[in-house]
Amino acid sequence: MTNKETVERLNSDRANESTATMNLPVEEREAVIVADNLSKHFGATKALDKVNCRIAGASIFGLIGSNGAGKSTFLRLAAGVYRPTEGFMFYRGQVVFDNPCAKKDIVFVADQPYFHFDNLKKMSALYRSLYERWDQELYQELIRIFPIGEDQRLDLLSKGMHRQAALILAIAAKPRLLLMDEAFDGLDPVMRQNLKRILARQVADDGMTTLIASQNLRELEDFCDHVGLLHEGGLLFVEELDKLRLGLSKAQIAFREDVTAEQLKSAGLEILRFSARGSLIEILSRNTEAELRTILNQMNPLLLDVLPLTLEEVFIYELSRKSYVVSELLA
Amino acid sequence: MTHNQSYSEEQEMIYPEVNVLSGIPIYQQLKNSYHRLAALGLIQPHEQLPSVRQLAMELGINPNTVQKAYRELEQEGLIYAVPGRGNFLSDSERELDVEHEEIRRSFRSAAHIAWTAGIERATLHELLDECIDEPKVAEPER
Repeated sequence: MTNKETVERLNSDRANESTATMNLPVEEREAVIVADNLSKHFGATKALDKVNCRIAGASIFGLIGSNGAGKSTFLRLAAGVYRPTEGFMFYRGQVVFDNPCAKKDIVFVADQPYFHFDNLKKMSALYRSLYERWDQELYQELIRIFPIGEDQRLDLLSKGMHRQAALILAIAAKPRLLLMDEAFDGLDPVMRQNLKRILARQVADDGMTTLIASQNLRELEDFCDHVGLLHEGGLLFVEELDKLRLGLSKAQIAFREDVTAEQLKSAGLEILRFSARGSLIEILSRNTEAELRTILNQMNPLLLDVLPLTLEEVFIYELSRKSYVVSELLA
Repeated sequence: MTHNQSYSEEQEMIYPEVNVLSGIPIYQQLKNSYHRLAALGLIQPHEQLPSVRQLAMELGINPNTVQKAYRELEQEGLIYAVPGRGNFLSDSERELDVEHEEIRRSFRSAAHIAWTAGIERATLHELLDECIDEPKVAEPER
């Protein structure tokens, strides 16, 4: 079999596997990344502390957290750049660190991309030699979509263009696992949309798994299917994004008479936060929107607005349970 | 933007729209859109829906989200899947009775609130007209 035939067969096997994967709900798929009691210490600093999580195949996973929470450390452990201090980081059942067999499937796009050579033409030749699934046609398509001249000097480009260049190289290498430290940062709205479309295609066609670490919750919540929240080296939760947003609701209510939090609780609401300004009450609750409406409508409110929480609000709420400073600011 | 595809070969397909700013989960918006497109007859029974890949690429959304919407629509009976070919609109007759009952329930609730608050019929009619005239983008199901 010629090289071309081998690559075609690999591609076709991948496509079949990807279809089979996509047909399963994300939770039922095999894990591509497993962190097992994973810790990473830098001297006395515990960047990650006993993190356990699994990320399923063809998932677009958002890793969120405050500054210094350990997101970049986690990505670098997944990329095999760092060795765990304790515990394990597995890719498809194999340890990543020092394992070329795992690393050939994984590409990492750093927050501030660094290029060994001064233009894309040379960089693409490097990637082509390193990654057996490198797709030259895809590369040509990408340099048209995220327009960068192959001969252009990379060090003279803006931050956003650096990211575009790094993304072109990463995606054309056709990784099974794409790790991005800030995917969208610095990209203009058109490029953002292009990136989403290309990633969507690679996930659908190729079953690519994507892990994005980001502060930009607005961007992530439209695109990720699962998110994990890191805080001070610990993983607070991993959840399907839709379940996360359904599990917390915010409502603004006005009643004719004064109503207390206790009354709402005895009506069956799981109140997490209650505030009243005059006759306008705002509550945060663990009930679904449907439950809130059913219970509150029975109390004949003058006004009832149920608002879904943004990922940012979930983030702030969950962190406030851990940190007194944040919750004081919000009170 | 296509890789190995020619637009002239594709049949004309209707793509639902989603509003990423609306706060309503995207898979829910997709479901609501398809229910509505079907109810209005803009898609015909046995017409093929865009593939997961096509829809995700067209809208720039997560293919898993599309897959979730399609799976639930299949469970609800609005669409059916043909392995290896794709998803198609079912031909079950629109059950307007279900919609009527849902509307009746909402009206009953509003009428009760109005009665308790002493709000007149004319005002209630005005409020209803306002609601009908409000712009709609894939409201959440109750």
